[in-house]
Amino acid sequence: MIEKIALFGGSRNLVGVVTQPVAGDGPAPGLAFVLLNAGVIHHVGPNRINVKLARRLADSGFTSMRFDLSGIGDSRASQSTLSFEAQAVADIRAAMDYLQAACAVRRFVLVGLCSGADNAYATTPDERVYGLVMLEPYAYPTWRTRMRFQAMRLRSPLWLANYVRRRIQRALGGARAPGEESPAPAGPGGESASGSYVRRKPPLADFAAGLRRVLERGGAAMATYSGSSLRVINHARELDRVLRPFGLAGRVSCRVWSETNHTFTELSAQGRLLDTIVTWAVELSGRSDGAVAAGRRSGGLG
Amino acid sequence: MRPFFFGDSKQPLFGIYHAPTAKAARRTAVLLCNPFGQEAIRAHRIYRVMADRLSRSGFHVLRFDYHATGDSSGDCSEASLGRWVDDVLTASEELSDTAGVSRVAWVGLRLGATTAALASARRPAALSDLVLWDPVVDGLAYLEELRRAHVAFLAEDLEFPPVHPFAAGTAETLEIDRALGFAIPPTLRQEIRALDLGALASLRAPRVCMIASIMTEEMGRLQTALASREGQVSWKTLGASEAWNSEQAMNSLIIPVDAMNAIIEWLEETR
Repeated sequence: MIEKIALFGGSRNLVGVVTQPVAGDGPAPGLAFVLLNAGVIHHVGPNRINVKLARRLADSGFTSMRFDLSGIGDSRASQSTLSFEAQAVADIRAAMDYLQAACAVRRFVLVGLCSGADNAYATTPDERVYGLVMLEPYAYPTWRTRMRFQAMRLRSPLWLANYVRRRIQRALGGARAPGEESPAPAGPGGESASGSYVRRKPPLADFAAGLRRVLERGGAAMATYSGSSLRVINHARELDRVLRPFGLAGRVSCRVWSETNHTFTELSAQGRLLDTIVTWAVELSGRSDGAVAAGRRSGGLG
Repeated sequence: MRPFFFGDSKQPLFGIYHAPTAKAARRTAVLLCNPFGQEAIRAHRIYRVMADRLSRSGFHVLRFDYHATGDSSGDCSEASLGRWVDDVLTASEELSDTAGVSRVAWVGLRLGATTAALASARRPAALSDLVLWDPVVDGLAYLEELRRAHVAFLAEDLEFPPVHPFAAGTAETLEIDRALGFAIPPTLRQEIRALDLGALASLRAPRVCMIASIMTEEMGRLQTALASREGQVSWKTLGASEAWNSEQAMNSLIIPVDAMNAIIEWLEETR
């Protein structure tokens, strides 16, 4: 595994770290990964998860880059007048440009948690986006979600005690109380958030269209939701259900890890996440290599 | 601002050097020493802003990641205070070489302050000034703080939190092997547990600035212990407690400006 600094972007204001496999670290698939910021946390990711993921991916033969969007972490603010959302997409495209030139890769998987997942989705119009790893992306609760959540409450002996404790803490002006009425910080249901990031959930049809773009390229998407988001999604099949009217049932790999929190605080949760992503990536790369070979045979994609 | 890898090429450290942007560069460089774990995540922005301000004031500045942290090499399971003390010395030398100055001031926050104090006892010739911001004075109390924060955070963040195994005792009776997303491997845990007033009181620097967000009992004991040492110790108490390990702190954009101003002003007094 080799790590190098990357300075890129229009005014070389963006800072990233490229992690590459060394010879013998497995096949060199035609895919590279771009690991995105979660909120305002710099490019190492929450709990250093981007660093861990980059090194695990390199062990499996994948190149990746973790980097900071303009104005976040080590990257300087952009001189452009784009909105934050549009600038994020421009920065991610710049990251792909950089890796494409440096590593001769033309297909990319975008990995993001929370705002990172939102930014990954927003970049799907770029033809190079071949995979999405969305951790705590947007969620679209249904009546089933709400019924199941109420059932979970009734089965949880600690729920009432926790609820009362949170209300008291909130009344005393303490930490955020993620109770029923409190805003889950940048949660997948989410129109509100902590910090500077206000999550604006797109209409379901738009979200489905973004996923479809990636899938129609032959790529893949996976989503994971946590036990911090059970209010808005609490069963792996729910994403399937809401995507079914758009012809996407069974097309997006979805997991709900109810004992894991929003930022994968427990080390065991981090380990499971890394295993899941790497396994998914290896499977996707097999498909990508096949698509590349087919493209070459037909004189198309290479 | 120039990111780079330095140190042992097989186990490189990641650093970001901020060259002076003032017309007249100062002849002192400033090394910023990270705290541990989740506090280091928050410190990133604080240090970025501080480094920018110091460089505008004419200082050369280096912020860096210890081994097994941030972008530096190493798995979290390799985290060790002893290694981090070595890393402070390596980084200080790197900064001195890069900047072409012989005088280096160190600024440490929380466990980074304690690490810097321990490194100062190794007495590098170049160390001129030492700023300790809310240092960890009592290692066991710090582990207990981390344990409580870990349990409280998960209870807060999960809709249906189970009873956490860390709720069954204290840092004295349990092996706290992780906190707020970061591993505390056995070596690091033992090193932290062993930290006491003596570790900080052994610091060696001509000028010392202590920044206390709030004057706690243990900071009071530290003040007494440092009163008898040779050299100048300047105390600045800000009167507002920083909840370094709170949930709000984790994704916070808020910079403790009063502490930062106090540190920069004190460093600017140097020359």
